[in-house]
Amino acid sequence: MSTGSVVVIFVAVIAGLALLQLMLSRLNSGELSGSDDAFHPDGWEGAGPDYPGDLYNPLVAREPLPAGYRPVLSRDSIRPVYAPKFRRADDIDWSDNELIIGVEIDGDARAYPVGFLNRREIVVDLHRGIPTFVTW
Amino acid sequence: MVHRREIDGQPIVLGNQGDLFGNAMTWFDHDTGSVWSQPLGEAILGPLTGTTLELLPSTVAKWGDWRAVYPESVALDAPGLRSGFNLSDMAVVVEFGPDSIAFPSTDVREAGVVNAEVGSIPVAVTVDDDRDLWSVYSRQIDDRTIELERRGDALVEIGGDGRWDAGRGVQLSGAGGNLDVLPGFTSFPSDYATFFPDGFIWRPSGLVPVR
Repeated sequence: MSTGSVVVIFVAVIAGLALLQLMLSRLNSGELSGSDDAFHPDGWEGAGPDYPGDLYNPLVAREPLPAGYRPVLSRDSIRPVYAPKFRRADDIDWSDNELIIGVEIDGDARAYPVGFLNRREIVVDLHRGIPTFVTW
Repeated sequence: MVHRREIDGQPIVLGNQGDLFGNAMTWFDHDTGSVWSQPLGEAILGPLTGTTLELLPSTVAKWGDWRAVYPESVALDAPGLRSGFNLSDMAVVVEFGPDSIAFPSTDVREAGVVNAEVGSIPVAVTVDDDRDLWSVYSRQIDDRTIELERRGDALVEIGGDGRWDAGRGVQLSGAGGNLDVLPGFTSFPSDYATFFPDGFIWRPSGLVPVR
C-alpha cells in the first residue's frame, strides 16, 4: 500500500470520527448548543453549580416528609442550566411550532424552548438585573 | 413557570432536588438546602419552610408567534426539540395569595378575552385566536376598572375608547397607558386540581370549584 493511500484512509477515518462526533452531539440534545455567537444580554457569567458538600438535605436528615412527597433522584442529577447563553432570533433554527416559555422584562424579551426544558427542567437566569428562575 | 429567585432583596441560587411532591418537581436552594415545591413556589421542608418566591409574568407560546409579537426577542442557545405539549390541553392559572382560577385555554380562545376577578383583583385573560400565545392583564386603569372585549389582535374597552394590542398590552388608542401585565402560568388541569384544591376552574357558564 502506498504512502498516499494510507494518508487517504487516515483522513477518511478522521473525517468519519468527526462526523460521528457531530451526530452524537446532535443526539445529546440535553446540552446547550454552545454556539460561538451566543451571549448573555446582561453580560452575566452565570451562577455556579456548586453548593456545600454538607448542605442540609431533609431526606438525608430523615425529616418526616409531607403526604404526596416521593423521593426520586439525587440533587442535580437532572442538571439545571446555571449559566445560560442566548442568540438572536434570526440565528435560531427552531420550528415556528416550537413551544417556548416567553419572558419580557423592560423590553428585553427571552424565549426558552419547552422541549429542551422538559429535559433540563431549570434555567437559572439574570434578566435585566432581576434574578430569575425558569422551570418546566 | 418563572419565579424571582430573591428573598428579602438577596438573590438565591436553586437547583433540582429531584423529588416529586404532588407529582410536580422540587428544588433545593444552595444556601440552606431547603426543599421547594415548583407549583407552590414555596419551601416545604427545611429552614425556609413557608417562604415563597414571587411569580413573574411569563407566557407559553409557539416560537413563531412569540417572534411575531417580540421580534427583538433573544432565544436560549439550545436545540429545538418538539416538546409534544399543546397549549390547548392546558389552562392558564392566575393566582394571588390564597385565591386562584384556572382558565382552560380552549375556553379562553373561544371567548376571546375573559374578564374575571381573582380574589379582589380584576384581571383579563386572553388567548390569541390564531396564535398559541396567552396574556394576563390587570383591568385597572388609573382608578377605573374596565371590561375588555377582543377584536382581532386588539383588546377594546367596553363602553370606552381604549384599545390595546392583545399580545403585549401596548396601548393603541385612548387614554390610561399600557395594560399592566400580571403573572400567570400554564398548567394541566389535573395538576392544578392537585395543588390548588380550593381553586376554581373558569367555564363560560361560571366558576366551577375544583372540589
